[in-house]
Order: sequence, then structure tokens, then C-alpha cells
Amino acid sequence: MPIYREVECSSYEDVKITMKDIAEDIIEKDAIKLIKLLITKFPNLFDGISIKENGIESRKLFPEALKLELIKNYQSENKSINEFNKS
Amino acid sequence: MAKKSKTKAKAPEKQFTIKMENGRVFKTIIETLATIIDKVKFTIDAEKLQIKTMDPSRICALQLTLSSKYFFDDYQCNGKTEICLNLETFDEILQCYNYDESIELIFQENAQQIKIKMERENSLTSKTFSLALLTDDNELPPQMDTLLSIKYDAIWSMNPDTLIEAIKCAEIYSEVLNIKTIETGLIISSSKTEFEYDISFDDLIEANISKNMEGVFNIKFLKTIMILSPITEKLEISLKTITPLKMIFNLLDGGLLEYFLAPRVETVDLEGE
Repeated sequence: MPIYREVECSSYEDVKITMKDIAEDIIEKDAIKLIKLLITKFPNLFDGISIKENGIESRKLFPEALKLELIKNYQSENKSINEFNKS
Repeated sequence: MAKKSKTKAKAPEKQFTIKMENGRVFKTIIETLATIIDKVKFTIDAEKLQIKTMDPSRICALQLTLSSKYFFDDYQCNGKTEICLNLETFDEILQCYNYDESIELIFQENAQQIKIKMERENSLTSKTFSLALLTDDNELPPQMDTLLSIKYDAIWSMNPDTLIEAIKCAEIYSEVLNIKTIETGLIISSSKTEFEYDISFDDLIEANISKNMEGVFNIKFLKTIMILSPITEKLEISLKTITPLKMIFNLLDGGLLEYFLAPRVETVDLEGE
């Protein structure tokens, strides 16, 4: 069965750009490189990239600035493990 | 008469060589950790290879222990060594691993790098990768003893696939997973119970529940750690209200991973925002 590969990029405006056509013709590593390049050139374009193999997410990529945003979100929504970690 | 030398004897160069005839379990462990943290400190001594770390947002903490005697097929280490590695690169290197190969990690202090060697049995052909050490930022590891000393009133063992199924179904509706114990077993559900998974005690491997407890946890962090499921022999979960969820993964080949996930903040209905 051929591997169905999809690189999905969702923007801040909830617009989904599916790069199926590109991703099907290139190997995953190249797809990741391409996306990383796009993120570098256009840092505000994407909020995250999901790499899917046969429809199942295998990797998620985030640019550095967005990683920090994600960390902040996690911190505001969850308790810190340090609260339970005092000796 | 010969003069006595006053120069101090140099401490021997720290080094280790550790080998796994089958590196599948190790590869999956690194793959899992790489989704949680970017860099990590490995502590290697005569008895074990150990990692104690927290994710960058400080929501989860984990302790991995791989026994020198049971997990590795060859283990030589001349003293306690701490090395800091980039996990993303380590994971990328291990993506080149084939399941019929062994993995050998070789470290010599002076080289400031580790070598990762993959080799097929009865073959002289091998692949060797170098991975430079990162500078240790001296961040204090989590006080795992404090977390490990928390007493839980609801402890059970379950098939990891059941939890994975529950996560998969709940994430259709929400970013959090509710877990609660009831008189007849467990209920795992999405935030507003659009999805509910009732699991009776009969379907659990073991259960020791003296008080009913509940907690709400981030699905992403649960999903990530469950990458370990194919190499998990036994999964034990402990739950206590407003306390981190404790998950103990008894891994194949004698590995042990203890994982703590802090609960979501209460009072604010973040899902409904």
C-alpha cells in the first residue's frame, strides 16, 4: 500500500493549507525541510505543522517563537509540577 | 637520588561504553523523550543510566532508570559521568536504526562527544554517528523523591491500549482528559463528557482503590508519553484529586519510567472559552 503523506499547516486565521500535492512527491525529510524554510522566511504564517502518515499524526513541528507561546499556554492552563515538588 | 615528583596524579579520563544487542526499546525511549524535551542530562554510573527531567513548561516530570545489569548487554563505566545531549538530534540519529542492529554508545571525556554505533549481528559493516555534548546549564533536576513519596488512594494497572483508545476518542472533543474512579471502576471522559469511556474493574489488570478520586489532565502530555506503549510490559496509574497523575511504565528489558503530570487548573472552564 502506498504511503499517504500529508503536510498540513494551519494558520492563525484558521485557514488550512494542505500541501498534499507537494508532500506526496517528496520524502518526509524534504517536506520537513521545506516547511522549516517557509517558517524561517515567513515566521507569522504558520502556528504549527502536523506531519501525517496514512492520516495519523507522526510529528508536529513548531517554530521557536511559537514553542514559547505554547509553553506559556500550558503554564496558564495547568498547575506546575513544582507546586507538588517541594521537599 | 631521584627527586620525588610533587605533581598531583591526574584524574582518569571519564569514559563509558554501553551496548544493547537490540536497540528497539532504547530508540522508542529517546523518541518519546524527544517529543517532551529538547535537551537532557544523562547520568551514567556503575549501576544505571538515569534521566531526571521536566518539560520546559514544568507540567510534567519524569525519571527514567535503565539498569546496567538488566537493560544493557555490555556496560563498562569507570565512574559517575553526566552528559548533556540534544535529544532532537539524538532522535534523528536513531531514526537510522534498523531493528536487526545493536546500538553501542561510546563516550570519552576528552572528545566531548558520544559515538553511536549501529551494527548488524555477524556483520563487519557498521554505522557510526558522532553527537557533540551540550553545555550543562546546571538546572536542578526535579526532586523526584518528593513526588515519589506522595501517597495515592487509587492505584490500578491497565492495558496501555485501552488508555490510548480513550485518549483518541476524547481528543475529538477536548484538549483535556477527565479521569475518575467510581464504585464499579473508572470513567475516562472528555471535558464536557461528550465522550465517556466506562471501564469496569474486571477490565483492569489490578486495582487498589480505597477512595474515589478524580483529576483533569492535558491530553497532549498523556498522548506523548503513551508513545512508550509498544515497549511497555506493565502500566500502573495512580490518581489523587488535585495532585499529579502518576504513571509507572515497566518497560521491556527491565527499563523503568516514572512520570508525573500536573493537573489542570480548576475553577476556570478553559475548554469553554
